[in-house]
Amino acid sequence: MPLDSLRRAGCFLLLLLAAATAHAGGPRWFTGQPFYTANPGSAVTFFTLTPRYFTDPGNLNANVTHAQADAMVAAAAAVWNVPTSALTLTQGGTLAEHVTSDNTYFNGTTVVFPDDVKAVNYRAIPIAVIYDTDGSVIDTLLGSGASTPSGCRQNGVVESVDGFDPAGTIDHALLILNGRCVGSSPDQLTQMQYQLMRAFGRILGVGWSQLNDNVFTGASVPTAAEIAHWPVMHPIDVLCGPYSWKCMAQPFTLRTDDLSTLANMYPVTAANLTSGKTLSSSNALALFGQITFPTGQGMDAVNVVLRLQVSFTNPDAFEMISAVSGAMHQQNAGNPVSGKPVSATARSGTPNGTQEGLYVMQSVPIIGPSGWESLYVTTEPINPLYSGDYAIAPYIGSPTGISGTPTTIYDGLEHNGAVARVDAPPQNAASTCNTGRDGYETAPVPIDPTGWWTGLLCADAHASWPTVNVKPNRTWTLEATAVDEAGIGSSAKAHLLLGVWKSSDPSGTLPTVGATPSPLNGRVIGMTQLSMAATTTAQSFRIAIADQRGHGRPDFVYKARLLYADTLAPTQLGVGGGRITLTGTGFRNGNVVTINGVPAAIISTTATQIVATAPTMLAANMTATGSADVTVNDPTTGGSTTIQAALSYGGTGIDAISLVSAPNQIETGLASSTPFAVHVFLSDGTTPATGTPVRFTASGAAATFAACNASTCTLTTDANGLIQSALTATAPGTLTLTATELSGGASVQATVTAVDPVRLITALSAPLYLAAAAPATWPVSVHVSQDAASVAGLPIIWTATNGLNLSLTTTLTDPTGTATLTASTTGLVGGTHATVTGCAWITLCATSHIFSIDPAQWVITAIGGTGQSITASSTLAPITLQVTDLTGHPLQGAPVSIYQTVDALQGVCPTAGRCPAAPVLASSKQTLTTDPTGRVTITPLELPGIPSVINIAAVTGTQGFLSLGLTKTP
Amino acid sequence: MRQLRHVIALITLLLAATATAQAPDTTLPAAILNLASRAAVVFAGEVTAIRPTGDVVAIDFRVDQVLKGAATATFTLREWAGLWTGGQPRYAPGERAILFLNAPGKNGISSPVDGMDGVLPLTPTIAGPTGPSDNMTTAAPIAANVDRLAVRLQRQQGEPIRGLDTSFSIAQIAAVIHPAFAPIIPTPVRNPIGRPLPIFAPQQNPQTLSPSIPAPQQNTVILVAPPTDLVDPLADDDPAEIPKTTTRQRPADASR
Repeated sequence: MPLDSLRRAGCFLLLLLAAATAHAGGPRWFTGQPFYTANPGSAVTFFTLTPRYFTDPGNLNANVTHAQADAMVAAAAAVWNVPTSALTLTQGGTLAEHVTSDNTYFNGTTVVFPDDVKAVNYRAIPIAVIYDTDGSVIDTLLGSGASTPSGCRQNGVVESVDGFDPAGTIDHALLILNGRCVGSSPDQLTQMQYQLMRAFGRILGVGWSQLNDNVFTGASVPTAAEIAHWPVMHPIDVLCGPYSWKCMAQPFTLRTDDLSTLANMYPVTAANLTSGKTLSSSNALALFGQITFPTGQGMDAVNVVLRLQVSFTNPDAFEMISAVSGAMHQQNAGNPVSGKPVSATARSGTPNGTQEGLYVMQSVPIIGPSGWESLYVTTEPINPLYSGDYAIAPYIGSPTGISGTPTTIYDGLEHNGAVARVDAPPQNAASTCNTGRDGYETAPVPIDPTGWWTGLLCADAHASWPTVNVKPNRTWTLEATAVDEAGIGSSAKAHLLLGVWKSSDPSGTLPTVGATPSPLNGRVIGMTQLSMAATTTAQSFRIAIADQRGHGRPDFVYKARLLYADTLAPTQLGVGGGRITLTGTGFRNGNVVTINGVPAAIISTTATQIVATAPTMLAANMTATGSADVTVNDPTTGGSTTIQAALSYGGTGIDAISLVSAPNQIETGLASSTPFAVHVFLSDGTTPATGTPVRFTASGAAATFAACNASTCTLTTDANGLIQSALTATAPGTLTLTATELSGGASVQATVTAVDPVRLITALSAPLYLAAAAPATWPVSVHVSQDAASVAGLPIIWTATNGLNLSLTTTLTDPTGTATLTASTTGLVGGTHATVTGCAWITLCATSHIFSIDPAQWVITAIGGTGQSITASSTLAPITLQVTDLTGHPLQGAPVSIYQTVDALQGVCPTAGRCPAAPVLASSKQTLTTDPTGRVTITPLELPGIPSVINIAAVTGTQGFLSLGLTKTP
Repeated sequence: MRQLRHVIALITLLLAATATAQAPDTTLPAAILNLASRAAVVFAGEVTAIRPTGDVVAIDFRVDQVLKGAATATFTLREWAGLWTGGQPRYAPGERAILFLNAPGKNGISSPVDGMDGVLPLTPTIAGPTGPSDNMTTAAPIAANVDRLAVRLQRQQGEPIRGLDTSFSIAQIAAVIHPAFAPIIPTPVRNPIGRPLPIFAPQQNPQTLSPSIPAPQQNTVILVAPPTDLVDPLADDDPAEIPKTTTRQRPADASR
């Protein structure tokens, strides 16, 4: 061990010693508040280092005289007088009178003893040793016959410590020696001496010790060394014959372990050193350490044993000293269910968390001449047999099991006077203290909806606080099972208590509604069970799950369950019984449902629902008047929940069912506007059957009911006995709808035809003819209808070919059922056929076509303004030309070149000779582009007031040509 | 007065002369019988209340089944408070056990035979269901934990303890206590009028009865003549008083 650690360890232990409160494992009791005023966690020792015992002046019996008895008592007491302990136990004299049932009796309130035997006389007589010659005192105190010789192994010596001082000391004790247990055999007197020796140890405050426990258990064959180091204060004797002292080697010699405990409790120090005594710390070292969980929390109730390796030898094969972790820690901090304990023993220990995993061995002898030795510290669980009267240290209840795997830690080369610290955390111990969201007293959380959940009580004083809502007239059961690391129920982990309050109750009070008085009261291992009565009104309850001792550790896992039947449907059956459905929480396979105590046949079970077939009215021992309790029982745990007066049997027939409505025809993909609806009546045919389960089934073509989105639904009738659901077919065909009333089996059917709807999508845009290479932008529209009605809001997916650009890829139809977008191009190659397609319902599409016309196919014609002949003072009308393809489709975007010349009006040419050419008065050239109708409009070039001829030529494409003339006369 | 002293001395002498150390029991049934033989009353019950009063502690029980002696539906044990050293609890409300009790001494104080060894806890013997899918249907038996008696059996030092982790049903305890009249069916102490006939098992030798022996078959039992009162018909050890037994098929509903 590093020097620093040693120093820290030393300081720690010195602090403990300085406080005069800390002692190693071994003391029987420790102080704790509020009874004791001493520092909590201190060993309770006799108030004086020289306690004197006073013996009964009578004979022990006819065979054993007073003197012989005194000698035997002195021998038993002398065992505890050892040099390394400051305690000196001696006889102080005799009592004033022989104690018998004549002077020891119960007066109805008080057990009356002679005055000098009473606890109030402790200053003068700390220990009274009574020779119960005829066993009458024991019979008076323990019952008639308790002193019988056949009971001497238990009642040969009766000890009672009946005086404690709040300062933390033992003031007074009684030892009653049963005279009927000693006959003529010397072995019997030796047996009593042996029992008395151990009883002296007990009244001096020495606890039982678990060391070399295989000597007791026989788990492995004990060696001679193990037998030799089996402590005098072993909890339970081995009975090898009539005399248990013969079953132990050197029965009247304290072992190192006994001496260590004695040195703890009654140390010889420099301050009290007297002749014949040696310092307890002489030639010894002190050892302490922590047993912890991986979380750092101390692990209490772990037995720690020490083996030595004396210098230059092999490690010992036997255990030398034991201690128990957490002995000084508070044994019972109380809990919100049962409150804080009141007795001195139950409240022993300190709440200081650092003590929870602490073990201390105050006096470990240094053996051999070298002055040093090595230590092997091993952890082990406390033997479960050691509880109650045989408890190790203060663990009077069944000891908590160790978490993880016991371990052995080696610590080398410790020397005389050292204060060594050896921590020995078990391997693989529970490693989390995360309790999750398990509520607070002022803010409880709802339980899992299934009624099954797992929780963790960690750390100390932690409690879980769930909340539940319960309807009136329902009993219920709460179960919580402590489990071990493997998830198996265990009584060696948390000792669970359950408490129930109304949610409205103030916090800080003990349970107002129900509580378990003690843990582990269930019928399966580790389970605590609380059965709750029904209430007349709906209630919200607050629940506490807590450890009885107020402890919380990483291995305090529990599984909880709320067995609660919330709803029954239907609430009335025909006399023939029928199907019922129970909803609730905490159900499981194997649960039994009874109607008026008569089992129902289970059909299916989940955590929240049980479907069963109720017996007939006759089988259920019911009549048409009155209601039966419906109960869910768990045959294994004994838990149950009942809905009181839940089910009645009505009339003599089964419930009737009639069709209210059903659609004749439905369209696939659309919820029917007319629901499938039925009416359920009781057998009288007029009273609506409320809460009745009805199964809807759609068969034939594929279809689902809106109520459950499945083709089969189990629904419950409303207060009018009505049940209904819309229907949606997913494929065309013929459907058969069936409604079956589950309790009695009555049914009704309807036939429905499912058809696909008539859907249309129409391209509203006419084919578009574009001049090759002409840029253009144009709207594209489709119209959508279903069953001849426009469909608004329907998405249209648009696509285009040959490089056309679309303003959107998806548009919605407007209220008129029309969807529109804009298409454009920068020019298509002549001869191209492009399309714009809009699709509705994914597969239904309409296409608009665009044709790009090669220039060789452009044809130009005059469609207006030709043949004009007007006076010179008038104005010519515009000329309209149109460009088309060869089949007459107007071309958009075609360029048209226009040439105009104005010639003077020449008049009539002479009949002979050359006709002179008319002079050209004006000319022009322009290029126009055809509009979406393929047209261009030309304004004639004219000279106002001048008679003239206007010649116009138009050219488009490679083939398109047109000429015409207009005349203006004088 | 002197004569009285002489009488007492004589009695004491006789008592001392008869004090002989007894060998430990060698089997669990023998240990149970040992306890029972010294008990005035044996019953299975549950602690309902603990009431410290003066120098006694009154422990109230709900009696579920009487195995020896006479007890009513409720029973109060009054113990000397000196046994509750430092207030150390010996019982807890809700605790279930089979109790072997000494007869009350003067003024009504009593205690279990052999201290707390005379209190056999009735504890679960199986782990419970683990969740909603667990289809366990077995009725979990509650049985007497006899570990404290197992450690009292005679054995050599280092010899393994025999009989640990075994348990005895109440019926088996009853069979051990009164082998000639072993009642299989719990005989409720409540509603004594008109209760079903008690049903008893065949006679068995307690020395040969072992916890490993399965419980008597449920479908074939031996019935005795109906008792005339509620007092345990087995309390009287005189074999001459044992009613003659007859055999018949057990009724179908005899399990309750």
